[in-house]
This record gives sequence, structure tokens and C-alpha cells, in this order.
Amino acid sequence: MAREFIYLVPEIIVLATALGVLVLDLVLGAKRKPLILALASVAGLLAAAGFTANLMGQRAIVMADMFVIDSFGLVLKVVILVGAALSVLLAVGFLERPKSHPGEYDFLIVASTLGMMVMTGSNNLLLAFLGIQLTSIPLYILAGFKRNDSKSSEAALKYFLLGVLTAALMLYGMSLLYGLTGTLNLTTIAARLGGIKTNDPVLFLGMVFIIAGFSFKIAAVPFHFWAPDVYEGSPTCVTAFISAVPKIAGFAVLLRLVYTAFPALTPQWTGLMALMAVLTMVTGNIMAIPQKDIKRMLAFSGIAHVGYALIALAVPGQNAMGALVFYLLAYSAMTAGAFTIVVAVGRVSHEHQITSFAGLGTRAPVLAAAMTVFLLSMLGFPLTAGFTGKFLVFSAAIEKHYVWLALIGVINSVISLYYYFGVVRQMYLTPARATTKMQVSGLVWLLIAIALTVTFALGIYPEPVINLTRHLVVLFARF
Amino acid sequence: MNAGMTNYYYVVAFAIVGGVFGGLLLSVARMLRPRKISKTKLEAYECGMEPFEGNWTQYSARFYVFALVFLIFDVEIAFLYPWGTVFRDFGVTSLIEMFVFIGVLLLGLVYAWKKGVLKWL
Repeated sequence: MAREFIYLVPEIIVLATALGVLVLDLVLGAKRKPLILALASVAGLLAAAGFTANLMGQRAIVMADMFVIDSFGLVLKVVILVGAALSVLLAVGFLERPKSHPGEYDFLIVASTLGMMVMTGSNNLLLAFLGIQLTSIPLYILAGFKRNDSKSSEAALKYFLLGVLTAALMLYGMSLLYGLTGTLNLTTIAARLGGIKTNDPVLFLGMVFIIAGFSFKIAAVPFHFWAPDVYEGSPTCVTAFISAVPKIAGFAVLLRLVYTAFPALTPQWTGLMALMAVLTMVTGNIMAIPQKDIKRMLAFSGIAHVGYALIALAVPGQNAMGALVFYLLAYSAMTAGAFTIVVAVGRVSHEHQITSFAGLGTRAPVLAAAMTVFLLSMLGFPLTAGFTGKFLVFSAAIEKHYVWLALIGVINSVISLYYYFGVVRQMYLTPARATTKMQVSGLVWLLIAIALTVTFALGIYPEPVINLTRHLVVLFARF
Repeated sequence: MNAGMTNYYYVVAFAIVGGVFGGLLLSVARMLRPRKISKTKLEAYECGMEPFEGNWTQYSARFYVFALVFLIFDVEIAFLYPWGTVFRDFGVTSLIEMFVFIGVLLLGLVYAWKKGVLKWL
């Protein structure tokens, strides 16, 4: 019993960090508080990431078959922890304004991160549900963090109501599945489904409801309605977090569910994923075109990217799973980078219209160049992470004779050229409204540099990571 | 007929016996007792305060804070009871776990207190 706790050290560290931040918030004076609290959170999160990396290669299933330790989960946990640490740093400037609540902000981010770690490792539907709630509830509060801003409150309320609705759907699905199999354990479900007719409509309904609940977390069509409003209304540093990190955990839990619990239903769920992938790609790309607000535009582009990633779930196999993990890494790096620049521009212009990027090429040439790189990466331009990710996903689809799915993906990438280049055109071809040079804090530069490094590294020399992701999926635990 | 249904027949039999027995006692008492009706007898007896206005009044939104803080203790009790019945079988580990749990909740309360949430403005 006590030995099992060794596997939970990263989670325990994250919990202790969250509580520690609360205590620090009480005892510290007002001077430099946001920075100190952020550094404390980052130290805790990175320590947890270190311990997680240290567990790499181990396989175990602990806490009464509830929690899986395998390389797949561990790598994603490291990515989640590092992503959370970076987004804590991104928020320092936002929290340095008077009357903000840095302690609560950092606590909520860390608590949400703990939920994502639970999601990533859960081998039980109930634990997955708990993880999703632990992730979501802090995010609802974070979305409404600008208390006196009506858009922010609207975002929080919409996010909360839709989140509760899908949580209810998901629980209903879980109860149906429990009624059929008598267990909530993913591996046991798979074993017991052997004795049940796989064309049972109740079983299909239960699976659809659970997948619907998880799809809400990753904002796949038709469960995407919250995304644009929440992205637009939330403080931009929260948007950066929501757009990248929880989606990794959402895909992890989705992947574990379909691969561990439903191997018997593979034709059904692959069909479902293919349908969702097409709908998500098309809706995301079409709806991104008319957007005037950069955050809404990036929200729809994020939805489109979820669609590309879902292609990898529609074509099961080792290469597709590896491609999915790679795509998640690439997506979170380029999205987080783009949002960091939106934060930097927003701090000067105090708005988020695409036109506020006008003349950025002369006002802040380096920033504009970095933004161009992130947008090119999202488009799938060679030598960037986005290209490698899309290449891997599409080739996995073609390998499984889903040429039409890859074709729809490529057509959608072409459509996305229009709205990504709308931003580039603003930056370089439209004259600036203000001519002053832009001030960007050192912390923001650091974050942009990290995102740029990852984007280029995954684009120019992706071999090590590709090998790692393929290797991971072999180590995906099947007990 | 399966075993599950048999249990319901017990319930039905119990309801019938209970109803007949209770009805019998009440009707005997009704025949024997004196009848003196007064308004005081119609009031709630040892069931809290007399209601003095309609229940559709407005009350301060600040009560939600107390509802939340109450929830902390409510959840704590809900977990302490089942733990109390089984903790003998799990030993020291479960004792430590429970104190960690209570500690986390206590920290939440202390945080709320220090931030002035409990103050009524």
C-alpha cells in the first residue's frame, strides 16, 4: 500500500504546491507578490515534472486499479506540467495590476493542472470524471477572473453551464456502461464486453455519451460552442492556458478510453471519430474566416486543429497514436506562442481586434516575425512543427487507406491560409496607427523564445521526438 | 416469482399491518378522549419558530459564502463517517490520510477567514 505512493509523488508535489501557494499568499506582503508566487508555483510544477520524468519507463497500475503509470501518460504529464509552469509565468504581468488576486490565480492554475494529471493517468471512469471536474472547476473561475468585466463573467457562465451539461451527459453514459458491464474499470470493461453483443444500442449510446463528455474538453464539433466566447471573454493569459494544456489531457483520456475499454467496438468509434474530425475541421476553418477578433479567430483555428488531431484517432494503429501525441506537442507549442504574442500586443493596445496588429512589422519587428512563424506553423508550412504534425497525421490516414480523410484535411489547410495570412497582411502591409516602439517584458520574450525553439525543433529535426512518440505508444499499458 | 419481488411483498404486508394497527389505536383514542378545541393546539409544537411572513422574501446574496463554508464541514462529515467505520482495518495509513484531508479543508477555511470572507459588511 505505502509503496504505491512512490508513483504518486508528482501528484502529491503538485497538491502541496497548490496549498503552499495559498499559505504564501496569506503570509507574504504586497511587495513583488505576483512574481514570488509565480516562481514558487513554477518551482513546484517543475519539481513534479522532474519526478514524473524520473518514473519514465515504469509500468504500474496502482490505487486499487484506478491509476495507470505508463510512459504514454508520463510524457504527457511532463508536457502538461511544463505548459502549466509557462502559463503561470505568462500571467505575472496581468497579476501585477492593482486589485488582482495573484495567490488565487496561481492556486487555480496548479489545482487545474493536478486535475489534468489525474485525467491523464486514470484507468477508471469515475476517476476520469473526477479529474475532468478538478480540471474544469478552476477553469470556470479563471475564465471569469476579470470580475468587473461583463464579457469575462459571460465567458465563465457559458463555460460553466455547458460544462455542467456535458458532465451530466457523461455521467449518464457511464451509468449505462456500468449497468451493462457492472464495472467502471476500463480494463475490466474491455474484458466483459467480450460477452456482450457489440451491436447493443444501449452500449453504443453509453459510449457516445462518454465520448461526448470528453469531446467537450477538447472542443470538438458539435461540442465546441463554448470555445469562441470563452476564449474571447477570458483574460488572454487564461485563454493561452485553456487553448493548449487541458486539450492534451482531454486527448489523453479519450485515447485511453477508446483503446483500453472499447477495442471490441473499434469500427463504431473510428467511424464516430472520422465524422467528428470532418465536422470539426470544416466548421473550425469556415468559421475562422469572418472573425475580426484575434482571440475568436485563434479559437476557431484551435477547433480546426482538434479536427486534424481527431483524424489520428479515426485511423487506429501505432503510427496514428504516435502522430496524435506529436501533433498535440506541436499544437500546444505554436498555440501557446501565438497567444503569448496576443498577450504582449494586448498589453499595449488594450484590445484584441486583428486590426490591432496593423504595422507590427515596423513597430516590433521581432514580435511580428515570431507571430509569422507561429501562424505558418499552424498553416503547416515546412520546417515548422505544424508541418511535421500534419504530415504524420495525414500519412497515418493514407497508410490505413483513409485517403479521403487526409484529402479533406489538406483542403482545410488550404482554406486556413486565408485567415492566417489576414493577420500577416495586417502586420506587414497595413500602416500602423501608432508609431511608438512596443515595450515587451523580458518574461514574455523568454516564453516566446521557448515556444519558437520548440516549433522549429519539431519542424527541422523531428526524428528524436517521432521515435519517442512511436516508442511511447508501444509502452501504452494494456493490463 | 424471483427473490427480489418477495421483498416487496414484505413491505406491502408491513404497510397493511402498520396501517390497521395505527388506525385502530387512533380510533379507540378518539372515542375515549374529551374534545376541547383551542387555537393553541393547532400551532407547531417544538418545531422551530412561528412563521411570521411569507417565504418569498429577498435575502442577501452574502449568504452564499456561509453556504460554501458550511459545505466544507458537511463534506468533511460525510467522509468522516464511513472512514470511522472502516479505519480499524486500514491502520495508520488511513489515519494519516484522513488528517491530510482535514488539513486541506482546514487550510481552505483559514484562507477564507484571513481574506475576510467571514466578515459581514
